[in-house]
Amino acid sequence: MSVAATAFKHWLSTVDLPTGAFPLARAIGLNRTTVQAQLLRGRVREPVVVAAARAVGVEPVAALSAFDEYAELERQMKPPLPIEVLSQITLADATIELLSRRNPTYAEAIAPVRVWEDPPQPDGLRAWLDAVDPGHIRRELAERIGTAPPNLSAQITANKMRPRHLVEAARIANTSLTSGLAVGGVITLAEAGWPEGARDHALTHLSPVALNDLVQARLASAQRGARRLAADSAEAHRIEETLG
Amino acid sequence: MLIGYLIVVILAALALTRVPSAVRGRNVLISLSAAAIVIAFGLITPNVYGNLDRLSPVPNIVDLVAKLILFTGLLLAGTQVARAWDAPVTQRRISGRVGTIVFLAVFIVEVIIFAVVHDAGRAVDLANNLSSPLVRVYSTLATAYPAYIAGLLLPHVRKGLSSPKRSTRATSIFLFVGFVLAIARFALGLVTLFAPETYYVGQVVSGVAAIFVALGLATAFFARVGRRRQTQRQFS
Repeated sequence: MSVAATAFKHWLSTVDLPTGAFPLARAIGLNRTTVQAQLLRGRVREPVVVAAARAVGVEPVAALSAFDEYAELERQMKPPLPIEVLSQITLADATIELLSRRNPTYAEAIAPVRVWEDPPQPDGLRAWLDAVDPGHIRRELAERIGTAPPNLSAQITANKMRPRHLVEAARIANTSLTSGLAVGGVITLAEAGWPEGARDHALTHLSPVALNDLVQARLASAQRGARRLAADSAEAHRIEETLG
Repeated sequence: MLIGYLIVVILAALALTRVPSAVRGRNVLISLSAAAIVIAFGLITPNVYGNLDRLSPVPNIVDLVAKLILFTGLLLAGTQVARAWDAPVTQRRISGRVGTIVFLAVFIVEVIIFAVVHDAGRAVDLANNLSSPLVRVYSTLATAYPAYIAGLLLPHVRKGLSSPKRSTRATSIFLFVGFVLAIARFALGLVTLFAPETYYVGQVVSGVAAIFVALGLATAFFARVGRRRQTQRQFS
């Protein structure tokens, strides 16, 4: 779900941004056709709101909370659960930690080039949903958003869910409402209220067993992705060779 | 009338891209099916149909021949699409024993009806005598076979719509639309049984369906050519 264009225009006037599509697009650095199309359609997507908020130095969460669709967002923003933080640690980050513990010189060698991957990460949505799942999150989410479970699974596999659905998932999981938006890449981790260095802290405090489990889980996820990619490539090749 | 010619031109242009590969013996079945579909649609363009029908001893036999060629083209294309999507059961239903029985049954019934009503004026699909219920059955039955093939392949092609591979997705989209239109054409044919005036809309739908299927096959062709060139560039 997006926000109403009329409400968005009203919000723009409160933060001294132009309401016309072209000047607005220039001011917030988005494609003017995209902005114009959304304003004409009467619904503005969340990334446009976030871009506008960033352009004027307003917190994106506060900006989204100005709209009825996200009224509770800022009020129910909480620090992330440790398990959520771990869900956004990639295979590379976990492996670096594993190697660093084996031999500190690895850590020294990697430190200058190490960059923490920000969401959206490959399979990041699935990892987050699995982490915060109280036991029935997929079924309940599918019911609440009126989507068939297979379609929801397809969205999770594609690592693409609508912002409103991400918020709904967070609500079901009883975690910070902003976490899903951060995991989906709509807002940054910092904008979602995640403390600076939260992932580094969580990773360095993992027990050896838990770190091995994490690496194993990420490796299994990467293997699933690689297998899927190989199957898709083989299918494309077969179609081209048979019909082409 | 103009739409009919336009459809043939587009189908012929897409079929021509196959010629170099077919000459080298590559995917001959798909090339033959493309050629068959072009010939079938070409035969029913007004001028070609009129001239050939004047020369033939049996009135409207050109229409029956066009249908046989079209069905054969669809049989070949359907078989290859089923193979491309690795669907052996569907492939058997198209070109195995079941498929052959369906093909023959539809065509034999067409021939029987044709034998009864073929001399009711010279026109494609015997369309100038649509007031006759038997002519309407003849026309509608001809759309059942394409719908049968499309119905079998649709679930497989649908899976390709969500493929992360752009070429698979593009091929699937065109084929999916083409197959949906083929089924819609059959539905329109059923409507024609009771409302003959819908016949001409149905004919346009047939042509558009054929264009989408041809575009789907052409997309696979260009994807393969593109991949081969990319590979050549990498290793040269």
